[in-house]
Amino acid sequence: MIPYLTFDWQDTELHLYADGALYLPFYKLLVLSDLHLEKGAAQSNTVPLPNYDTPDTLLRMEQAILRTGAENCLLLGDSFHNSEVAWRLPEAQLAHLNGISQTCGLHWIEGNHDPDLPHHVPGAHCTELAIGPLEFRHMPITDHNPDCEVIGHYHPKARVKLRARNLSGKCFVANQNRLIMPAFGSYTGGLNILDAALQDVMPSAKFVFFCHNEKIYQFPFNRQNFTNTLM
Amino acid sequence: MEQPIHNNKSDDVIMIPDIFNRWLQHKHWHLYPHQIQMLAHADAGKSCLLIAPTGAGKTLSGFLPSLVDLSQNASDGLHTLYISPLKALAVDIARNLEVPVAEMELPIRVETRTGDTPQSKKTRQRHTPPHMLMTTPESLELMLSWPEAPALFQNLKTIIIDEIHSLVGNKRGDLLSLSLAALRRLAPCARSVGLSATVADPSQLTPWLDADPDSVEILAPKIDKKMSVDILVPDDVDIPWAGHSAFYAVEHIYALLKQHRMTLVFVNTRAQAEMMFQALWHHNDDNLRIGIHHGSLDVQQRRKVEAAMSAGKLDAIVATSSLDLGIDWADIDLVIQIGAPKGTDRLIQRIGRAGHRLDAVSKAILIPANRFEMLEALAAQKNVEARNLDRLPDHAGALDVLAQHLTGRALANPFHPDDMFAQITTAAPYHSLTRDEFDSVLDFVSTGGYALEHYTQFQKLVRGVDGAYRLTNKQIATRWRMNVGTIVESAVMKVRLKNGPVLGEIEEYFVQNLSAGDSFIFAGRVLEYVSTKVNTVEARPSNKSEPKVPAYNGGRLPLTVNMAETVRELLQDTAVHKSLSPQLSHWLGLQAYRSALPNTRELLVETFPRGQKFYLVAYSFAGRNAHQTLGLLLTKRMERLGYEPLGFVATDYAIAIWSLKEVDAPNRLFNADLLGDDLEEWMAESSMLKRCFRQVATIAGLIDQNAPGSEKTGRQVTINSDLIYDVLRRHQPDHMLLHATRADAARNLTDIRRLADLLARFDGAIRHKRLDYVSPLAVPLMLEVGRESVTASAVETMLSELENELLQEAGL
Repeated sequence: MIPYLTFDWQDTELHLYADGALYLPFYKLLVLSDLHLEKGAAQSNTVPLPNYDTPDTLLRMEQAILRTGAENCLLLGDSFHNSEVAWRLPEAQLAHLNGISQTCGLHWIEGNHDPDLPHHVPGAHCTELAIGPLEFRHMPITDHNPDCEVIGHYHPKARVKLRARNLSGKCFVANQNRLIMPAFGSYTGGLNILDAALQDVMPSAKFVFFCHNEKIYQFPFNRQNFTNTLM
Repeated sequence: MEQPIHNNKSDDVIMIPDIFNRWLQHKHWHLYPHQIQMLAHADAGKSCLLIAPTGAGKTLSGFLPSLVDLSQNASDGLHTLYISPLKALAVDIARNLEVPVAEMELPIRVETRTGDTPQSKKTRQRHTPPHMLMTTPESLELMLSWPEAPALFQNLKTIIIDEIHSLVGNKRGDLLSLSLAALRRLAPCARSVGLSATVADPSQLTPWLDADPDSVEILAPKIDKKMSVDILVPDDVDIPWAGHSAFYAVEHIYALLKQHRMTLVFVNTRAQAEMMFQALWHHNDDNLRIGIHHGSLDVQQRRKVEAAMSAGKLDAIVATSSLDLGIDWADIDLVIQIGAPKGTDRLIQRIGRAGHRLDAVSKAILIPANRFEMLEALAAQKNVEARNLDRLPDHAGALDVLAQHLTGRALANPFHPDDMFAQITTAAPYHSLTRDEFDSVLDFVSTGGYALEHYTQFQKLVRGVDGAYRLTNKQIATRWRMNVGTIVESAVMKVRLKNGPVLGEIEEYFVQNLSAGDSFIFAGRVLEYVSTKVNTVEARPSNKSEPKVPAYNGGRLPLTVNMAETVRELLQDTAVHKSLSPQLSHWLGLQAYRSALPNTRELLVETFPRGQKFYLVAYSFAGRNAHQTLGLLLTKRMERLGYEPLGFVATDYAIAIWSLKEVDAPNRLFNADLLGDDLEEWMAESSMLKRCFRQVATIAGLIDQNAPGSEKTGRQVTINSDLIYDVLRRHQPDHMLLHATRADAARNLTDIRRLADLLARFDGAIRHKRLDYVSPLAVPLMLEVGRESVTASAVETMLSELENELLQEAGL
C-alpha cells in the first residue's frame, strides 16, 4: 500500500502519495505529471535501453487509479517523451491505455515535450484546466501571479541531510500559490529543489513533501536541511 | 636497466652476438642464468613465464631475445609488443630500452602507444609501426579494431605482458585476456612472455600465455631478495585501541625519515595519505622534502612527484597503492607501512620498493595503528619471512567486459558466433564460459536482449544471410572507441585552485556536504571551498585548522585469507604472547581470563549487556566485506527471531551487533542457510547493487561514461542508471546485465564465497561466552560503534524524527 499525506491547500483537500501521485478526493480526480512515456525508446543509442519503462509507468498509473478509486485522471504534460514516439507507441501499450480509459476518464494537458499528441491516444486533450479553485497546467504561468496553480515540468527532487548521510528522493514542493508535482515516469530523473531554476519559480517555498522508499514525509522548507545534488 | 655484477660461468655466454657481449663487458655486466635461459626458450619459440622479485633484471630478460633477434634479422614491421598495466611504466620501459639500442647502434625503433600518444603519431603507427611497441591493455583493444590490424600483427614474434599477476582476477585483466585471444588469431607465430612478481601458484598464470598452459616454460630463479621487516613498538606511548591514523607514532615516523636517505611511507587509503602528510609537515622542523602521491591527484601532480623522486630531490613520499606497481626510479632505503598491510603479497611488493637492487636488503618498518593491527603486523612479519603468499583470486571472466569486446570485434570485422565462441573460450578467464552465457551476451550486444519485443531500428549488430554479425552504423563505432576500457569513474568532481591549476579529483558525495568557507585537505594542502561550477570545485588556499578529510570510495582492501589464518594462529599460541610488548600481552592475557581467545577450531561469540542494549560480538576474521554482509544477514535473522536488532559494526577481524533483546543461543544464528533468501532480497534492494549495475552497464555499453554534452547543466541528459536498474529488475530479473551485476557484487563487495567458507568451517563449532561486561578484545569494536551501519527501519525512524523535530521547530 502506498501511503499518503493529507494537505489542505486553498481550502482543497489534497492527498499526496509516496509514488508522486496527487489525489483530490472531493473531485475523485487523480493527477500525474511528467510520465515521459517511451523515454527509453527515445534515448536508446549505443544499445537499446530496457524498454520496460512504458509498461512499468502504465502499470503504476493503473494501480494509482485503482487504489484511489479515481473517476478521472489528469496527466499534467510531458506524458510522452516526444511527439514522435507517441505516434509509434507499441500496440500492447496503446491497448493498455485504452483499457485504462474504459474505467477512468483521461485528460491530457500538453507539455513542452508533447505539444501535439496523436488523436488515437484515448481521452480529452487540452492546454490547461481549472477545477474548483485550482488551475492545472504543465508550466508556470508568467504574465501574472496565479492564485493557485498546480504544475509539473521541473521534476523536483530533494536531498535531505540526515546525521551521517544524505537521502535523495523526488518531492512535491509548494508555497501559498503554487504546487509543483514530482515526475511520475519510471525513467524520469529530477532537479534539485535548491537549483536556481526551481528557486526562480518557487521563490518562497514553504513545504516539501519528500518521497523515500515508499514513504512520504513532510518538511517545512528550510535551506539548512537540504543539500544540492549535482544530478 | 641496471645489471648487478654476477659471477657466471663462461659456458653461459653462448648465443649472444658479439656486439651484445662487448656491450655487457663495457658495462661490467653479466647475464643471470635465467636471462640466458630466456634466450634459449626464445630460440625454441616457447612461451615463458618469468617469476622474479624486483631488481632481478626482469625487463631485460623479457626484451633481450627480441633485441638479439632484431639485431640479426632486421626486418620491417612490428616484432615485439609489450603490454603494461601502467601507462607510465610503458613509457619508462621504452625510455630504458633506447639506451642499449643507442649504445649498440642497433637498427631498432622503439615507440609507445597509450591514451596520451598524439593523434598524428597514432596514425603513423598504423602504417609504419616500430619494431617494438609499448602499450596498455586499452590501447591494444583499440588497435585490434583497426582495419589494418591483420597486416600490422601478422608477423609479430613476441608478446610481453608485464606485471601479469596484477591483471588476474579483475576486469582489466579480463579485457586483456580477450584482446590476447584475438591477437593470437592474427599473430599465429607469436610467443608470449609473462613477467610476474612472486606468486603462490604459477599455474594460475600460464593459461594466459598459451592455449596449452603445460607448454609454457616457468622460470622462477631462486633469487631470494633479503627483506628485513620490523614492527615499531614505542615504549613511551599507548597503542591506540581503535582508529587507523597511527598519529600516536608521528614523531617516531619523523625520526625515521631523518635517519634515512629516502623513505617511502605507504598508507592504505587516500584519506590517510592526506592526513599523514599534514601530520608529518606539522612536525617538519628540519624542512625535510616530503611529497604526496595518490590516485586522486591530477596526473601532472603525480608525474612531478615521481620525477622529483627519481632525481633524488625528495626525502620522503607519503603514498597509497598508486606506487605499488611499476617503476623503479628511486633510491629508496626505507619503506614504512602505516596501518595493517592486509595481505602478504602486497606487503612484499611494497617492501621491494626499498633497496631495489637485488643484492641490497629491503628494509621495512610496520607501524600498526591500533591493537588488532599490531596482531596483524606480527602475522605479516611471519608471513613475509615464510613467503606465505595468498592465491590470486580465481575469477570467471566478467560478462560486461565480454559485451564490450564483442562490439569491438564486430567493428573490426563481421564475425560468426560459433567461431567467436571458440576464440573467446581460449581466453584464460573465459575457459568455462557456457554457450548460453555467450549467446545471452551476443543477444544483448545486438538487440538489447529484452524479452519484450523491441523496435528493430535500435539494433546494434545484425545477422547477415551468411550468419555473420556486423555493425549497423558508424556512430556505434565512434562511441565504442570513446568508451573502451573497464575503469568506470565513480561520480567525481575536479578540484581547481581559483585561477590556478587542477589539483585532482574528489568524490561528488563529499562535495555535497561542503558549504562555502569550509576547509578540507587535498593534494597535501588545506583548501577553502569557494564554489561549484558545473563539474569543478573551486577552492583557494586556507590556513584554517581542523579541515575536513575527503571521503574516498574503495581503496580499503579486506584482510586476506592467509593473513587472517596467521592472526588466528598467533592468538591461540600463548607462547607468542610472552614475546609481545607488555601492553599487548596484558590485553590478551586479560581476554583469556575474562572470556576466551579466538582460535583456529572454533568461532568465538561473546554476548554481554551494555547500557540498555545487548551486544553480540563474533571474532570471525573474514575481512570487512564478508563481515558487512554477515552483519546484514544476521540482523535480518535477528529481526525475524524477535531480538530487535538496532545496528552493527564490521571490521576486518570481527563483527558486533546490538539489539534490544538478548541473544540467548547464538549458535542458532550462524548457519549455512543464512545465505538463503535474505541475501537475494537484501542484495536486490541495496544501493550497493545499483552501484555495481552502473559500472556493469557502462562497461557493457548500455550507458556512456562520457557522452558528449552530458555535463550536468541542470536538466538530465541521460537516464539515471538507478532508474534503469529498478525497471529492469521488476520486469526481467534474469537479464544478462543483472546476472553480471550480481556476480560482481558477490565477488567484490559482499565476498559471499568467503562468508560461505566461514559458515561451513565453523558449523556446529560456535563457542559462546556469555559475559557480564564487555571483553578486552571487544573494546576496539565498541569504539567503532559511532560509525555504525543502521538497519533500513532505523533510517525510517531517523527520517520521522527529523520530520517531527522540524515541524516542532517551525511550530507546525
